[in-house]
Amino acid sequence: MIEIKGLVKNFGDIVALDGVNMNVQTGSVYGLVGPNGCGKTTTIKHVLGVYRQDDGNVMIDGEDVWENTQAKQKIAAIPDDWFFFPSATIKDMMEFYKGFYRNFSEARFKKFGEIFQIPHSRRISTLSRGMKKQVAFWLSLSTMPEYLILDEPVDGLDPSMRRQVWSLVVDDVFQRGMTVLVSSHNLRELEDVCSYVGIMKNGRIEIERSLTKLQDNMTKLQLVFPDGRNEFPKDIPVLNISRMGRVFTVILRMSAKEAEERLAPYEPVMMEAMPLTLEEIFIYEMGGQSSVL
Amino acid sequence: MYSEKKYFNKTLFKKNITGCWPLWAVTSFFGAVLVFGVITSMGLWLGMTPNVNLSFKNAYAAGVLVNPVISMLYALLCAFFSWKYMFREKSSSFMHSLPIKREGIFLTNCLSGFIIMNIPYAVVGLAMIISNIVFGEFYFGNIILTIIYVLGENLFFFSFATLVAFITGNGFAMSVIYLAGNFIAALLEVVITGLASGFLYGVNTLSNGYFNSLSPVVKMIQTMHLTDGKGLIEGGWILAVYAAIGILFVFISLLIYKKRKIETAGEVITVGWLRALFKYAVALTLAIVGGRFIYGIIFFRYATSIYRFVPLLICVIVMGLIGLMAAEMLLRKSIKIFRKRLFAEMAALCVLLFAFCAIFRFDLFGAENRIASRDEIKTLSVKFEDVEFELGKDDESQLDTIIGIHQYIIDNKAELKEQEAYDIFSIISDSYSYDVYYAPEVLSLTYNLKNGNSFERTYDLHGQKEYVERAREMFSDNGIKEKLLFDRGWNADNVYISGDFYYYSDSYYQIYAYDYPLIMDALKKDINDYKIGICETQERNKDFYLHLDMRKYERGEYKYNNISILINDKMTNLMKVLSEKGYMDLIYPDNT
Repeated sequence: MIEIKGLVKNFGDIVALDGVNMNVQTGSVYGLVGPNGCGKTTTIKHVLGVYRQDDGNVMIDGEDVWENTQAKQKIAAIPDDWFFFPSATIKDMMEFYKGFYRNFSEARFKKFGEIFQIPHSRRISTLSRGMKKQVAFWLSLSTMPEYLILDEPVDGLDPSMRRQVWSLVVDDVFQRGMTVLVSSHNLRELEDVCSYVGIMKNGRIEIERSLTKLQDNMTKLQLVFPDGRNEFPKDIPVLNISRMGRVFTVILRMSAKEAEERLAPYEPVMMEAMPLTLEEIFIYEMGGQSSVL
Repeated sequence: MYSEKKYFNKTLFKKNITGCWPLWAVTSFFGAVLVFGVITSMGLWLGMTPNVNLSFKNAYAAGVLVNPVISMLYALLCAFFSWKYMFREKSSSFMHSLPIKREGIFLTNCLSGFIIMNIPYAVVGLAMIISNIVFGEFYFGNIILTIIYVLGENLFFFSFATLVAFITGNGFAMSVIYLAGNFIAALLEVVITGLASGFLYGVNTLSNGYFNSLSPVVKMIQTMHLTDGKGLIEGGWILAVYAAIGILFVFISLLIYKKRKIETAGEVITVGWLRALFKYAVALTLAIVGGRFIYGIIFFRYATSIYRFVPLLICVIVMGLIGLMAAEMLLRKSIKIFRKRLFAEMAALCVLLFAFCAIFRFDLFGAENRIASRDEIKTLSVKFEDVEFELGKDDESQLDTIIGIHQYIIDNKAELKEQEAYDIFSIISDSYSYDVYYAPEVLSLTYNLKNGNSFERTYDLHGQKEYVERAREMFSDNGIKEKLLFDRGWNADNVYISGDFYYYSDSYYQIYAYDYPLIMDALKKDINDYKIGICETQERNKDFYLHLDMRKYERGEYKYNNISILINDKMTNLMKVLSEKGYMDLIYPDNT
């Protein structure tokens, strides 16, 4: 389990993290979303033990991550733009990883080689961005991590490789109980794999819950009122409202059942609940600032 | 292979060594070429070296003596390759996400870096040993000493470069600060003395080498000497001191590393309190160096001799503020620097610079008028007109003579300062003879006091006939004459007579070396009757001079005195020797 309590990080005068609290359950896939500059990458770098916090705790399985080699043995990371030694080949990097991670599996490395199909002898600096990302997955998953930390993991991968990579990750979650913390702006993909979501804003986790609960807590309704009523009832708070002819489309911060109960007195002639995507939830939680995505 | 060792990672070590093989391979190659060059220059295979043993021993010692310069530069490269990952956030993040403690990375990199540092030395050493065995014999003692000395030098420079790598955040800043750090004493001397000498007449140096230890290369080179004829090194203890400092630097570097924030990668200075030091160091250096430069351009009439306080202060403050802003921009990596705090710092800098200039302008430490009393003096070194001699505490009469001359100059410093300023102005405006400017009429006095302190004063008396004559009075003192010619260690290296020879078109005639002892012996007897050190215009067909180029080997280097003696009839002993040896026939052919 990854536990973050009251995490604070300042870069000079800038407050990057302002008391982040986060819990990532073992065996779950946790999606960390938020607008640019909200502190997602900074949080992830604390989980990796790269940044040292100014205040608060970052723990894995109850142990502080900072300078903890045992905790770091369990973690593999794939940041957006990972580092490889300048003239290193895939084989060189494999040897390097093997020298640091005691669980590094050469059998796995070999097996993944058949999936990624990039020659071991290729210099990584000559590979495309997408291929470098594949190498990063290849090496990281070969370390048999208990925790996989991903920051914009599939950027640059083609659609079929994205599916392939996610499939490998999800396999490890189901088969080995691997925990995944993933930060991405691709909410459509996160929706498919995440069981938990944390929404960050201004250096804090604003909302943290399971995706199902998140979806349950927000409702999208299409409804039509009887003749003579041209306005949506003012006593019902809305996150967003639009109207086309007599049809209202509203987003409400409540469950579908509660919404239907509260709207029943107005005797709508038609009322239908629509499924909300993670992207819509994110946009409305952020105050409708769709441009930040 | 996974390494379980906590403080050492074999994989990282191997990657470090193999990752920069071109560095140590190329350096090793040039080192081997150097060995070949040494062997060739000794001409061993042609049998040109009379003492092969000594030549090899000297070569080992010479290697140690010149190594500080090589080691200083090579250590910078080795440390850069060892720690360059810290200069980019991407590589730094990668390294620190690995399951290894910072101590583990540090010790592994230190070890690999130090080995990379020493690989070329091992190659050179091996080449030397092989050539020893081929051409001479195996000098076990010299080899062991050389290894110890070189390891000491390399340890210090590598650890110093490592320390600088940890307090800086990018390669350029590391290189500049490391090189500046290696010559900090020289920089301080230039910066502070440069300002002081503009206000304080005769003060050309303030530190007298007190701070040389801060410039390791300078200190090592100054302290270590080749023992003449033994192939051993004197002063090698200094390397033990620096090696100990090197070990201390390693520990400090580790402490800094443990606290270092990854996000400081790319910055100029990564340690908080050093950022303030850096800012003020840049501001003060630019204030004094740049301020004097600007002052020199605008007020060149008084550029090098006498500073006018207010104009100089304005120049110094303007350049200081520019320096402070430049340093702030470097530290913030932005041109948007103007905040309340910066304005407060600017005000503080102005006060500091005013105080700094005022110390020298008003001579708060009394440096300008400082003359040591005879009782304070342990030794007094005097240089004037190409000659140099040293007086001890027992040379009371001679000390009084020199102190009297010094006092006379101090008493008349106002006139001398104005005249010097005028002369320099004349030279700048090309209205003055360069011959006069370069005339060797500079009096330099170094007082070494009984309390261990020392101070040096230098007065440029060129063109000041009255003062030159006053200074020349020192040469009428018999005690000083004896010092010049017969003080311990001085030997006649070259002796010749100058004048307008009747039979020769040349203006000088060389005395045969085997006659030097006779000449010197005669001079000793005539010492009360001759003039010495005077280079007045000779009258044709009348005045002849005996010129002695004296040489002395002291602390690993040769010193030279050039003494001219007017030959006159009263020097009966010299005349007799010259006559017996036939030199008189050249001078006075009509007498033969």
